Amino acid sequence: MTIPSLFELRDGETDLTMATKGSSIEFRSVRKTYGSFVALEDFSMTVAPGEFMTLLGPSGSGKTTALNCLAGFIDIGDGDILIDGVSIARVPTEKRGIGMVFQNYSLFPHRSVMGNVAFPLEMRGMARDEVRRRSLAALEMVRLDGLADRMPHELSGGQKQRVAFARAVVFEPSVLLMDEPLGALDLKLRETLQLEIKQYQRQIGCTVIYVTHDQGEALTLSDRLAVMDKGVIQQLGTPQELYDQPASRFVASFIGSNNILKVFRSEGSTVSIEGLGAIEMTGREPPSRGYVALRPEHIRRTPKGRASATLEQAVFFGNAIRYVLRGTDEKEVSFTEPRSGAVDVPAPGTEVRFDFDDSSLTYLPA
Amino acid sequence: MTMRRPIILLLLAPAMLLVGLLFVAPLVGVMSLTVHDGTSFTAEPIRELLGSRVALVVLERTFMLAASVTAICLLLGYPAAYFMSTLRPRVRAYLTYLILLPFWVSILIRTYTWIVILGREGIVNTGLGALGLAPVKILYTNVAVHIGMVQILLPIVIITCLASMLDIDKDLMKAARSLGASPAQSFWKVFFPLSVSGAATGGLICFILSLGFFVTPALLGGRRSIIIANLIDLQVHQTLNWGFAAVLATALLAITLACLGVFWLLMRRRVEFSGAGLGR
Ligand SMILES: Nc1ncnc2c1ncn2[C@@H]1O[C@H](COP(=O)(O)OP(=O)(O)OP(=O)(O)O)[C@@H](O)[C@H]1O
Ligand SMILES: [Mg+2]
Repeated sequence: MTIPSLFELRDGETDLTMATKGSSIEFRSVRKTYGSFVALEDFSMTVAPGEFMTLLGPSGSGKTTALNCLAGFIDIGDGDILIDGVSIARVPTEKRGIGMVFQNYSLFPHRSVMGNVAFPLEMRGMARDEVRRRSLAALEMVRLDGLADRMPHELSGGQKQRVAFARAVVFEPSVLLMDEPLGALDLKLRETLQLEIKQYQRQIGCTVIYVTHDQGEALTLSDRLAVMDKGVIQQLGTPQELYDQPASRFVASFIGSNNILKVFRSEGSTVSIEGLGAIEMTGREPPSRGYVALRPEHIRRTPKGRASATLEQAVFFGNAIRYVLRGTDEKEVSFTEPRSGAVDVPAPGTEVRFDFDDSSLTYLPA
Repeated sequence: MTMRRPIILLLLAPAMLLVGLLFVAPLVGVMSLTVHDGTSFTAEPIRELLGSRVALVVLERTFMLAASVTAICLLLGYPAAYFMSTLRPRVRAYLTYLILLPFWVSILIRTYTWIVILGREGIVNTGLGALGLAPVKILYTNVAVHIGMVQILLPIVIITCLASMLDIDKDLMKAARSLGASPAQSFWKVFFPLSVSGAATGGLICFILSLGFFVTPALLGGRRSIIIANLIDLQVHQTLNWGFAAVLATALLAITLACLGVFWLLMRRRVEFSGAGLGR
């Protein structure tokens, strides 16, 4: 009797196995330096079994370094990494049981699609027909079973990405790492594959750490995400938490689009804010200093608005219009307005009055 | 933008003319000597080749010598190239420079140097003598010929292997490790297959150059080490049997072309099977 691999079960059936499939991962104050350059500083996070965690950050922020420490391609400097509570600092890469999808796919050019997917099973000394059966099942899952005999150079980017994914999960690792797997693909394909990746992960049930510098992708895919900058985790939370309650100017500006405005002074319930002018706040204690973040979708055009500015341009977005305004203090403020029904777009140069709910302001430290 | 045909032909013309006048024409001349003695057609040289035990022995010896020199060069060169491929680019550049340094010295001088080193009064034997050991006869043996040829050909093999190794994406070995391969497995299952075509090319170049070697066997080898180029020289300069020299030269050329053909067939099979590096 052969044990069915996870890919062969129908969607409904996998649900039971799922809960037990992923491992927990814990980074404990990992610090990694290259010479005098600090690539990771006090890097700590705990990922629950089966969770989809994303590392999001600008180029050079240390995302790949964190993955490399976990995968074992570079030594963990200070600190420790635990998988299911056991330190892996001394475990060699091949014994960590971690699947990885590389940014450039890293398919073996001398092996066919089948040969690539079969590789991890062969390394585990699995019997030949079992290798074949499982590889085909994994290829079927990514809908590439028709291309099993192709060579990597005969595949499109999206197909290569799928092979890389199938190869990384065919041995049913409890942890799957993906380093910007969609970085090289066009927008349309990215969106398709994002949904597929999410679906496969649910099916397989492994714990995922996903790296990207595309915040949209991070919001779509993740259970939780960690925003990184200069080797440090700036904030860690669910997509909604990070979007609604950014803790710093960096996070507020990195996730989604945002108006980040300096607070000048407040007297009683009146506060003077860059770009908005003096605002009388009723619903809430005004901020005394620092910055406020105001999402473009939270601003609405209204004749009785508390703030006004000169319209610089109105940009057509298809389903919405983005207004770019310039306040009397030259600060730029922008907002979006959905295009339902007929919208009268004012001409550039006109004075536009606008308003927002006080509760939609996020107060940020200086 | 692709150039128009007449322009390409015009650009190629000088090189074609040079090759045609200085290479193809003499070659045809030499080859014609195998069937034509200057006044009439003759089968004498070919009959002489097939009837000559010496010629056949020397041909076989040439072939064996080239094969063993190539094998030694690959055994020494491949690991050396592998080692170099793991170094930092700066260090590798210095090493490459050192490896290419001998090319600045003429083969003749390098070969004479071996006489100084390996001879009866040479460094090796005086060293052995100082240690109270009996002298060994290396010079004028096949061993000396091998040493001399390997020293000359090794850099070519190393550089050819290295070039193909540097083309290999190092992330592939990382990928192999993450997929469960031990360091040894990731070498044999990924690195080696991807570098083997480069090594084979280096081996082929080495083999073909070995087939035509002349100076080293002539100076370092004994009577029993003469190979086909030496035999041809003998026919041209000593016995003045140009017809026989021509037929020997043609045989050498035929063997070389046959080797290229076999290599090409093997590599094409490999490419179809693997899709690696070569072709397209
Ligand atoms: N081997 C190395 N030696 C020295 N510095 C390195 C090395 N590897 C990475 N770094 C540095 O460490 C920092 C973090 O690199 P890392 O590759 O983790 O960035 P990243 O967040 O993955 O960026 P990207 O989005 O561009 O891939 C970078 O500033 C990089 O220059
Ligand atoms: Mg990176």
